[in-house]
Amino acid sequence: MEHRIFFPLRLLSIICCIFIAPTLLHAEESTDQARSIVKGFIEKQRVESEMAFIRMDMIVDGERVSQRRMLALYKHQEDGSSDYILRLIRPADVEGVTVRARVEPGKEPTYSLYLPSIGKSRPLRDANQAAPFLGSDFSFSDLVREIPGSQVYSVQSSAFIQGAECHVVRATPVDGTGPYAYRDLYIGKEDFRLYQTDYYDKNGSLFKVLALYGYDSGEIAGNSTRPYRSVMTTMEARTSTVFIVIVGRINEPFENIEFSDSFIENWTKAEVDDFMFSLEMNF
Amino acid sequence: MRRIIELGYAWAPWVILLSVLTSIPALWALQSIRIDVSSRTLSDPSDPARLVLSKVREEFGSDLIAVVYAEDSDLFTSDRLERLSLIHQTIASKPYVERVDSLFSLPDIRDVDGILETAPLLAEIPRQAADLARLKELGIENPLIRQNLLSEDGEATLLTIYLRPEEVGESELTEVEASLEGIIAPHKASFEALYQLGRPELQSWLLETLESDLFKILPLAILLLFLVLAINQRSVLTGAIPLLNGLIATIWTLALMSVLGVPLTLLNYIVPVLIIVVGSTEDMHILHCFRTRLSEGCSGAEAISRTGTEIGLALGLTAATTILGFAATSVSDLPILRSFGIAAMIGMVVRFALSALLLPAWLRLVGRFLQPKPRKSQRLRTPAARLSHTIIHRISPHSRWVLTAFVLCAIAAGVFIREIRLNNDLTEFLDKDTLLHQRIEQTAAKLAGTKVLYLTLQSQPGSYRQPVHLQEIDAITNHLRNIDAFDTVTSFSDVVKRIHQQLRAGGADDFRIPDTEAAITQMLLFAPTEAFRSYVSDDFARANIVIRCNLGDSTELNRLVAELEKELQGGRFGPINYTLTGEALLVSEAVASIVTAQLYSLGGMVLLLFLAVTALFLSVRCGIYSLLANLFPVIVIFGVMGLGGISLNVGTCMIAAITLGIAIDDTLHILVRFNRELKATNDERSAIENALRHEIPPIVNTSLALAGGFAMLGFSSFGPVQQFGILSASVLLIAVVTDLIITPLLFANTRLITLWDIVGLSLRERLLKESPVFRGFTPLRAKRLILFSDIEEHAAGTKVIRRGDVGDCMYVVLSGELEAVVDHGEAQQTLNKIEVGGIFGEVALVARERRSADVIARTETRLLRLNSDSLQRLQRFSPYLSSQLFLNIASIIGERLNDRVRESEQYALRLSQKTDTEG
Repeated sequence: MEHRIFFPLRLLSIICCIFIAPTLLHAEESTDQARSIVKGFIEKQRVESEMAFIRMDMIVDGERVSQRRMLALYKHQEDGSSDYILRLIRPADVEGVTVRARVEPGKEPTYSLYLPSIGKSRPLRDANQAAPFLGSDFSFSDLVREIPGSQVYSVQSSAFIQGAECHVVRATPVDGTGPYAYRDLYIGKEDFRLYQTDYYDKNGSLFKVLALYGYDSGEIAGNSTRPYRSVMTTMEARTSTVFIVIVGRINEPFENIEFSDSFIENWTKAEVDDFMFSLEMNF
Repeated sequence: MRRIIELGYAWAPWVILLSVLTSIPALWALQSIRIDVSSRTLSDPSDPARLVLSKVREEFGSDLIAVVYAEDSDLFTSDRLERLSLIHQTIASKPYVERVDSLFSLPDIRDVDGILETAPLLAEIPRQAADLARLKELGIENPLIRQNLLSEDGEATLLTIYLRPEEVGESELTEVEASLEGIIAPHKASFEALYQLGRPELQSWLLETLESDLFKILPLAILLLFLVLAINQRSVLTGAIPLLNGLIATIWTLALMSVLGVPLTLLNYIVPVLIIVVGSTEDMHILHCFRTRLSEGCSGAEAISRTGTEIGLALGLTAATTILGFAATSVSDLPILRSFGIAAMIGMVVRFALSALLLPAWLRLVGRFLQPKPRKSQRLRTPAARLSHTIIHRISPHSRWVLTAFVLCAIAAGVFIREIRLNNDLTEFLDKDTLLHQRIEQTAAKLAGTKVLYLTLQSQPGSYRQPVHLQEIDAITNHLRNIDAFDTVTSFSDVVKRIHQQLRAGGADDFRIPDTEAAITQMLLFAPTEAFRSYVSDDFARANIVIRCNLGDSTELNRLVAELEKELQGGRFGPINYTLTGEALLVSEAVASIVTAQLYSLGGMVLLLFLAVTALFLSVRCGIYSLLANLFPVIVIFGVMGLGGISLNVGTCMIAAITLGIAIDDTLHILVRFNRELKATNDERSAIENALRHEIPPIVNTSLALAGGFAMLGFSSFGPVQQFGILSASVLLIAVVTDLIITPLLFANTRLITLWDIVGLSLRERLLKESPVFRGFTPLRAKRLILFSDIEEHAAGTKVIRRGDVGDCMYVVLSGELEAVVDHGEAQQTLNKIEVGGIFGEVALVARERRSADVIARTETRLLRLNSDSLQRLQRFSPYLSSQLFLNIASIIGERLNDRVRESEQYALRLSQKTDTEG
């Protein structure tokens, strides 16, 4: 009787050993490999500071419906945190609209919004990271660089994107929060550059696709870790937002720039022009 | 008609076999009949306003919507909100769902403790009661959420589900309803109320109710008809045969509808009931006549032949008027009325064809079992005889008073007709006691009505980012909010004011439109597009004001809309270019189509019946009298509708034409019988009394059966069908009374001839050419004159006039030959021969003199007899004919006088010559 009861358990444990353990081992291996790939990708992007003058086109059903220009500033702080400023330059009616973001290690990014018509910066709740960025197909969370600690990575497969062989690495939020269920990152096996990101919603449906073209493009005046052209497409709405980097600067000192709300509130048009002029970012 | 009936009898096995064989594919075909219970059937699909609506929907969102309503006095608990969140997520994941708007998904721009929030109010569900209470408060405070998504007391909320039109057709709506029900069912116990509403639920409910109605009303109608027929005819077979014919006709009709693409709708689903009830009247007449002939000893073939001869004409006519009555409703622009008209017309044609062909075939098969049993006691005076005697001898003498009373009734009813309200609302179909209706009312009371109107303003691209244009929208929005009938009014100006207030973290003063376009543009950059996509187009050229209400009265809604349009066009809000649309409005505005349908169908029916009766009886007066008798009940019922607050809707607008087409059948039966009796009795009063005595039983029986059948529709769950059934039954019952009282009063002093009499009367050409009586008459007028007058037939050798008798009439020879003779004892002197067209006895017409000679028929003869009575009668019935005739008679008398004078002069001349000779 005892034999009869324990035999199936024994059989089950053998099956586990034969089939499940290698799977678990493989999963562990996959996670390690993914971490390594993402690390390579982050290293590739690593700079102390970066500035870019970007053209933002909004496209609906293949037709451009609006065009804006903005200044994007990024600074890696000594304490390991990162600061971002995205300020609209054109057209005139939205000039000065600014989004500031701050990413501290182990914390959710924080955002604040400055509207010249209101005259002061307003902090945004972290839940807003899913909200569209200034009416575009990008959300606030799409604009900050990869934050490894908040994600679990796993290698899915390989794929060729724009002729480059890529690892397909799935990034899933650790705590299940965030606007997406997961993202598939297409990272080049050779150059560790990001060629494409697929965003999946909570239903597991493909929600958005970000395609990145033209790293080290001669079209960019100066240097940038960014690709020349980034196209974010919302699948169901059939709308796209295109970021084109016109001018880029890497590792320039931002001596006169403070990544604070009060600075943004008082950063005048003339000062912005002077800043861009000093970096030869005239347009 | 007789030949068709005889054909059915002669080829009985083949007719029955063919009917059965045809029914098999028909049964197969009817299964694919399309069912359309949507509100689209209540408005004109070719209405240009529908195109406007479709553009608005395309731009600002589809109206293919389902909602989940949740109510609980303690709604804001983490458990209930978690359940609702789960329901939201499960529904949103379904492939047929485009998006779900709710407290869990709709962006809510708000300032919370100095931090801006654009996430939905319930993006996260807190555990603490205080936090939940705070969220509830925030929701109630938000004018974009209050009443739209959350009730003012925070106890009820809605999940609005936008379905994918490409995934969800009319046929998929019931599956969607079942799917949604499956999602919410496990949570129902956790809420005081949790249910779904909207298109899938309504569609599903309407389909279920339509089906249950059919299975409820149809057996009732069948049972009623069977009982009426079986009891009345004292035979189970006479009850069963019309039912069998009715069922076959129903199968064929539904199959034809399926083949022709006519859908089954909320109105025409009653057509099977009508086929069985209304269509059985022809069978009843045929069966009654057939059995009567059998009882007289006729064989089956003889009985069917005589049935065809006797009632074929009346059957054809009454079937035609009934078919026309139903067909009249098909002229409407409204699909629901048109499909009813077409379906009913098909049904009645099929049913009549079966009465004419299949019924005789059944009679061949089972006719021998239909021999009536002799009754044990024959009452000398039947109720019909007593009633007809009362009408003729008690009521007729007071005809003026009776007719005055009817006219006064009609005038009184006419006054109330003006009070009739128009309505064309799908909620009319919902019984007030149904759960669905109660739920709609509950939702409207807690949140906002389910009817949506869109006031769309049109300007240049970018205009509705400008403060001046937003102020315009705001002014219109505020004006609309002052209209009590509108539950909620939401516009783009509300969104902008809300964002502005929250961005400034301000108070009530900041709930306003910013002063500059730049400020508005900047604010909109921040706001998620979901927050305003229902209210403004992508290029800011069009702004949409969304109005929600629960008005179920089309007249009231149309009045409100007309007032609003007047104000918008009056320049109060500046020069604006706008469209006001919405499914509810299209349906409501289609009341004009109901009125048009009413006018066309009733007007057309009146005209057709007038022409038909006038042509049949060759008398305009006859046409007018027939209509007057049958319009009276319709006027009375419309008066009752006005008095009782019953609206003119897609159901009640059919009553007039249909009941007129049916009710006039009784009048035609009375008139045809009256015509026959006139020929037999030659006296109007006795003829009408006899006609009534014969016709009262079938008229009362068929009317009771019809009224009973229509009354069965009163058991319908749909308001317009109930009203149609009960009011039609009332019209038919009133029509019996008016037919039995007014018709005899109007026709008591009338002589009728029918078109068939005219066609059947053959006159020799010589008669018209040579007879001085018919000088100047066309053949038709000569025939009318003859049929209005008295005709005598004499065998050869009959002495028509006896010398020495005092006469009062003259004769015209229509056929045969006579001789005027003077009897001199043993010898007879023939004065002259009188042939076709000849006249004699004319002097007696003007002077009562003794006849101067005998007139003897030498062959079989037919004579037209004219005396002072018949001439007076003719003068009354046809003044034109009588004046022509008087002229001819005067001419004849003049010629006779002239002859006499000439004869006298010759006699005097001969006498003077003789005197001169003798002298």
